[in-house]
Amino acid sequence: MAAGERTLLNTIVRRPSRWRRLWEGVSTIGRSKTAMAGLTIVSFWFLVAIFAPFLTPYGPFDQDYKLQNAPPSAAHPLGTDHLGRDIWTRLIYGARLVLIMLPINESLWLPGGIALWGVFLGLVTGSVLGLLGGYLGGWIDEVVMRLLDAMMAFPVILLYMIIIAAIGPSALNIVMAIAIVGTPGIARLVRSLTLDIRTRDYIRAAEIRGESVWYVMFHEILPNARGPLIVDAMLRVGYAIFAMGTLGFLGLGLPPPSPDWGSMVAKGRQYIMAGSPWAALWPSVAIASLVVGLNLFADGLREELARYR
Amino acid sequence: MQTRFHPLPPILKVENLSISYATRYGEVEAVRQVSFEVNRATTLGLVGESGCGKTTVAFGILDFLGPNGRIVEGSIKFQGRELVGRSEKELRILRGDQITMVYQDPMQALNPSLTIGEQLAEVLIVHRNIPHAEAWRRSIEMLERVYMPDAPNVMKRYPHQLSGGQQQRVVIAMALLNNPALLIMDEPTTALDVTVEAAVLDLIAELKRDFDTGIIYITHNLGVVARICDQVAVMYAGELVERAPVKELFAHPLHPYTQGLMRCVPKLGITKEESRLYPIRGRVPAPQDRPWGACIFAPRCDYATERCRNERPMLREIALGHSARCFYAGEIDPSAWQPSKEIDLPVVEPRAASGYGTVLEIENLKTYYEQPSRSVLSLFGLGKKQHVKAVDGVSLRVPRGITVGVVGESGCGKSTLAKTIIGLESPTAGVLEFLGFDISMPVTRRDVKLIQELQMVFQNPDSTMNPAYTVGQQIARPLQRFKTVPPHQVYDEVIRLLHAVRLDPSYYDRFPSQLSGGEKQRVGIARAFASRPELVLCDEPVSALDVSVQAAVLNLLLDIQRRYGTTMLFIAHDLSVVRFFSDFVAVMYLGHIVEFGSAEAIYAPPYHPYTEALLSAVPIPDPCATQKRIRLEGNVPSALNPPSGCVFHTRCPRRNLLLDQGKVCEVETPPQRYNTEQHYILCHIPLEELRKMEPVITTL
Amino acid sequence: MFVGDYMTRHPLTVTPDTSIVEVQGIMAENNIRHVPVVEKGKRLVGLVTRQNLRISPIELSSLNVWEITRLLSGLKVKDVMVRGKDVITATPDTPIEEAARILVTHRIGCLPVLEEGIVVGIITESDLLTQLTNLLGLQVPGWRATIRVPDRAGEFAKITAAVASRGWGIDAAGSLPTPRKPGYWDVVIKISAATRDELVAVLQQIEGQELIDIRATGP
Ligand SMILES: Nc1ncnc2c1ncn2[C@@H]1O[C@H](COP(=O)(O)OP(=O)(O)OP(=O)(O)O)[C@@H](O)[C@H]1O
Ligand code: SF4
Ligand code: SF4
Ligand SMILES: [Mg+2]
Repeated sequence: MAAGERTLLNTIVRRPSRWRRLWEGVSTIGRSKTAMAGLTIVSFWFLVAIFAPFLTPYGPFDQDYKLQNAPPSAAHPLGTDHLGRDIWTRLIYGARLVLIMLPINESLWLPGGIALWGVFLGLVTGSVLGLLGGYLGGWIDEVVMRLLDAMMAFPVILLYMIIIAAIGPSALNIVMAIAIVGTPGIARLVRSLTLDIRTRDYIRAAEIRGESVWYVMFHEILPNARGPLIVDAMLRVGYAIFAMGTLGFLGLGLPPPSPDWGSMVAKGRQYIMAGSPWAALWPSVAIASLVVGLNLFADGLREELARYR
Repeated sequence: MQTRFHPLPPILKVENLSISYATRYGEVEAVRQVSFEVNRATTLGLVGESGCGKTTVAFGILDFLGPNGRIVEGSIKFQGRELVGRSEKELRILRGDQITMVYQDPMQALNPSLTIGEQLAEVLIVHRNIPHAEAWRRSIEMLERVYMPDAPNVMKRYPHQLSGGQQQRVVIAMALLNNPALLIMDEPTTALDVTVEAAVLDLIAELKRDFDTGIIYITHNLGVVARICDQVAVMYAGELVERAPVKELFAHPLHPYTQGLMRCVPKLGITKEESRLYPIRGRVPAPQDRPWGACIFAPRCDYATERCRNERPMLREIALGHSARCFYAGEIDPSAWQPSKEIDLPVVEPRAASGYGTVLEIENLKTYYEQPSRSVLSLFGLGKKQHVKAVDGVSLRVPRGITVGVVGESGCGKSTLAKTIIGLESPTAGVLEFLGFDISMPVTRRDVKLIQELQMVFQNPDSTMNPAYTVGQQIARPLQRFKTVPPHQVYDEVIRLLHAVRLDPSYYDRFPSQLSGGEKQRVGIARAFASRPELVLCDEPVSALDVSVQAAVLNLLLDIQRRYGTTMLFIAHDLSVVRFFSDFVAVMYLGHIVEFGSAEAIYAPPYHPYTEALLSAVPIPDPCATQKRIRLEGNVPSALNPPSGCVFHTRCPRRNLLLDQGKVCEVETPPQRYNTEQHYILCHIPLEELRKMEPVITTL
Repeated sequence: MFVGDYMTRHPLTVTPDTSIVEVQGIMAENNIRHVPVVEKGKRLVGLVTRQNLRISPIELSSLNVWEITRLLSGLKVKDVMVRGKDVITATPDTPIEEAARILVTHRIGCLPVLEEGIVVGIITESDLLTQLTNLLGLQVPGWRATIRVPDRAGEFAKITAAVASRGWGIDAAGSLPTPRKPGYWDVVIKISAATRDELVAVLQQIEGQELIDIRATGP
């Protein structure tokens, strides 16, 4: 058979490059309307977060005492809050916290927002636990799964509150909380994927080469769990943003005056009855749109992945 | 069927059927102008390699083409009425429940959460308005009709509580409850053991006669075709290339493709020294690459001429009832065929079983799996531990450079034996020595040097490669791990290995999803041979492949083995392949080797009764050969409580040759009797007696 | 010898809504004269025959070509079929001679075969006549001998004994009272194992019986 196929065409054309595969991936997404809609919303927030300083003349903490609780106007497109701060500005600086930068202390910050870092850490611990349980099985699996079951028995919000109450509200601690809360779900997903993948012959092939447990877990199994894991992570970023909002609303978010979306809703709520709903409305819309965007993107991606399986 | 003076109308008449799928390459034709007829009480075999459109034809008849498939032209007349061009609702009425399909995987047709009884009775209650009690009674009758043991009880069980063969019987019973005029079976026995397959095939033949059902039987196994089909239609790349009564087809294949297929399958009783397998070069073109104004087989045909490349041959009748789609059909003499230079044929030298030293030495090897007992006592560690005796006292000596075949039904311990040797399971007792070193420990605790010498080729081409890495990366890994070659030579070595398995260097960067089944299997072989191992275990390496690919892969294995002087343990269920490939054969049943000997010795009397039954079950690709009809009843018993005495006594058809219907077999372990120095049989029946038996297969 | 053994299984059927034109096509193409009409689950609701489809010339002459076409294309099976209860049917365990009697007495050509209301087959005149030919062994080549025997017990046994004594088998046999000759029966047997002369010799030796005809028959 090989002889017949050893043609020039074959050698030249069928050589796939990384770029080609990447492009195929992108065009796959492009085929799904759902995914495109989601991607548009999400990119919007990423862009405004990145370019925040250029998209507004104000700073997030600039106050204008003459203009408190103002409705939208040309100067303040989304209005101002009870301290006369521009809501648009606070919103896009808030998006930075969620997506772009993680403040460690006054002067130091890490790239990647709170939600992203939280989910990423959850992904790391969850994957390790899930891989261990799923691949090794036996008592390790029992222990890991019982532990995670116990955690999943708590309502998510309660879990957040307990954790934040225990370690105090700060950007880093919220990251920890998101990671801890996300771990059991991710671990379960990875475990179930692992249970499936570990029955494949290529895992046998690795084992009979005498590969180490770590090699098999991270080189043979994990890359094949990638697809569903990415989709899941996307959804989780959405949940995390939502959770951040909730925490902020409950007063467990980033300490003021951070432009935390949840805290903004919480503060703004007090003025709804007084006739200025803007301060509560816009951050709620922001949270909702980002969460929906991520969900749409994840759903579309999942469908496309399933179709081309 | 009764003699008739006027012929009955055919149940199904397909004319010029073309089916296309909308794909990313646009609309591609998967089936082109196919015509055939199915009559009452006859079986039409639809054969051809994977991707030739067999299933598509079936789905076209059933209107199951899915959202992207459609019938482009042609006519399908079922029971006199045209199906093409009707609305879905009309079709439902027209077909009624008169067409039923049976799939390869019986679980596709069974609902795992309902009992067998509920599912069977539902067919009658819903479609026929038959009262529940009556439906139940008839379902039991039908189960008995398909020889289901203990039918009333089976009615209460769930599908997963039945074996594969039993599930397939349930599906067939379910199909027949509708009393369909047409039954379409898509590889219904491919997933079953030979012994079970033989029983199901007998059943199908009998049902066809008793119910006057017309059957379309889709398969790629020429042996099965020879056994149960009356008419055969050979498909290639979406076209029907030859159509004939079965005996006629096997006696005088007219189309070069059919002739090629027949050269790919090892005939039972043929060895690698005396005969070659000739794969058909190239492979089935994908639907979007199929030429229109030319013979579709031309790129692979040894007789192709200029005309073949410029004009499309039509299906024409060459002899009465025998048509072929080839310009030169009837003029080509297949006996004058010479292999073209493009196919690589291995050189095989006969080997003697001694003198080279021993590679693997197994002595009374036992591998038991602990079965958690369900009793309450076990919670406190008091319950009696139960053991699945997967391998129970196997002794085997494998000399260097030799291939030992292992055959037996599924569940008889073949794969466990392989896993124990390779170190994925630890033996419970016994001696396991490789090159003189003890290897009775799991692979993780073996020395790297030993690991490197012991590799494996797997069965399923789709899972043998990691989809996340390229071919090159996967072949390179063992080279890096075992430092077979210095790091800077790894790339060259991979290319060399690719070359050895006849893949060109462009495959280095391909991902598994871009390979065909046969190519994946080649990469699997390259990976196994990368560390230049002394012993390679092959667990059903070709059973998932098409015949022509199978021939190529077998040739490749033979060639590589010869080149590297590798010793092989070849596990397979296809007795013709094992016979062809192996120097020695071990027949396993329930954890025991019941017969061991050279390949020739195994396939001629004296036989162990189990070997005899296996041989009589293999479908042989020759409708004129006669085969003794020995069918084993029931399934392989559970290895949890293997039968006492001779493990085979519960199913042995030869026990009655002994005194007292073979009482002795139930109590005493049979002796190991040596027929020749290298051939032994584990049975109470004296060898003289066994020698007197007729050979299972006689060809005319 | 029951209907179930000789009927045609899986008969072509139509539904009540099939158009007359289509049924005519089906009948012509497949060379059949009777088509059972079924609804869901193959339950019998009627029967169409060539007769049902015939339109009387008087009716026709009053219409012009366009009207005929319109009439035909609008007509459905349910408009012309013999309806449910009026269809005379058989079951698989009806003896074939009983089926023949029904066909003759009702002057009809076919019987749909039902099992609990579901059509499992159809048996027609020609099926029964075909079986008559089988009964007398037309399908096997050999010698067909007609022997006239007195109407009393043991005569048939004499024939079988004589044939068996030579080790031949009787491939088919049938007997009827001799027409216009009371007190005698004509027995027809079919034997393929013997030569004509051997057979004649053996049969002529039987006392009290007369070999009145011997000839070769076969497909
Ligand atoms: N839904 C689909 N969409 C596009 N192409 C399809 C689809 N189903 C099948 N094909 C293509 O049509 C061709 C015929 O496929 P089909 O499944 O009928 O082959 P087959 O002869 O049944 O093969 P096998 O022996 O593997 O079952 C193949 O090339 C296949 O890739
Ligand atoms: S028509 Fe030509 S190419 Fe096609 S099968 Fe015949 S000889 Fe071969
Ligand atoms: S020992 Fe008895 S049961 Fe076992 S194979 Fe021989 S005859 Fe059969
Ligand atoms: Mg198929």
